[in-house]
Amino acid sequence: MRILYVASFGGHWVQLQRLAELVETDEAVFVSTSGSHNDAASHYLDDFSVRELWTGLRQLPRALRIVRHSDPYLIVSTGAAPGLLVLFAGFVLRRKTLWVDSIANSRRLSLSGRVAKLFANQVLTQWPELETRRVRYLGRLL
Amino acid sequence: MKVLFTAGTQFAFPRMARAVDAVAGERPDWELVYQAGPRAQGDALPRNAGPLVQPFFPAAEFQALFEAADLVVTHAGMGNIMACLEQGKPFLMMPRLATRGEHRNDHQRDTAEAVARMYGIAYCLEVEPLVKAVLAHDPASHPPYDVMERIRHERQHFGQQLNRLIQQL
Repeated sequence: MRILYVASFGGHWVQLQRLAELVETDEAVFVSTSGSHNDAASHYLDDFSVRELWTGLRQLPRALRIVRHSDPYLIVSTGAAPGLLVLFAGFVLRRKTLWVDSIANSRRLSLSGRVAKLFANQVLTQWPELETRRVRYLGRLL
Repeated sequence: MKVLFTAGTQFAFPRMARAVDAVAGERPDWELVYQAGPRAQGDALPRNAGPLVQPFFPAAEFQALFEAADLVVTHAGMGNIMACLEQGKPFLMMPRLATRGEHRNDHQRDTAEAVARMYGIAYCLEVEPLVKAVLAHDPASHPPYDVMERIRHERQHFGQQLNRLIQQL
């Protein structure tokens, strides 16, 4: 079972790596954002904010290529917008998708996480008080 | 004493530069390092020439500075917070605030409050109390002993639940 892990550099990336350590899988492929002294991923996207919709959508073909090329059973993202884009590409290509909202969002799900609710197979929060019918709490990294 | 300040990579954070300046002025013999962020210029950089300042240290260099530091002062970014908690590094937080134009929203303030509540780590919303807290830091002090054990426990539980979920998806 191959899992494609996606996160932008920084806190999202640190959480993604910790999360990947917890998941039992045969193969893990990583996607991150470029230009940030980050050489641990196999594929890269340009960083953008979820408010910069056009910069994001312009990269959809690249996101689709990454998903097709790595051919994962499941795509997991901890954020932010570039993770949402790859998750969406996975939805288009009928892959299973899991959004784990950053532990930094303790009062409200991130905007990207709220968008992910529209198409992801499952959205997780790391705060029990943010659990709803659509958003589950299964634990946290801290 | 060695103190590592980090501002993250989002908008400019002049208040962190003021804190670096104030500590450098009070303790000229301390070794201060400031990772100011790629967009730091003008008043987002310290005026005092003492501290070692760079927009962004390469990962290996940052890790070495992190390990050498007696105290880390962070903008309450989750990458820094996780590294400090996991490695038992004493730290303080001054979150970026949306009202000051330092971030798009106040999630770093929420983060700082949550980490303070869960792990007893101090955070400051203003420069002055932060500077006082840095100056008052006792290098012999250690974070509560059970932090790493608690993190290990949380993750073990989370991992079991995650693997179960993935089987069911």
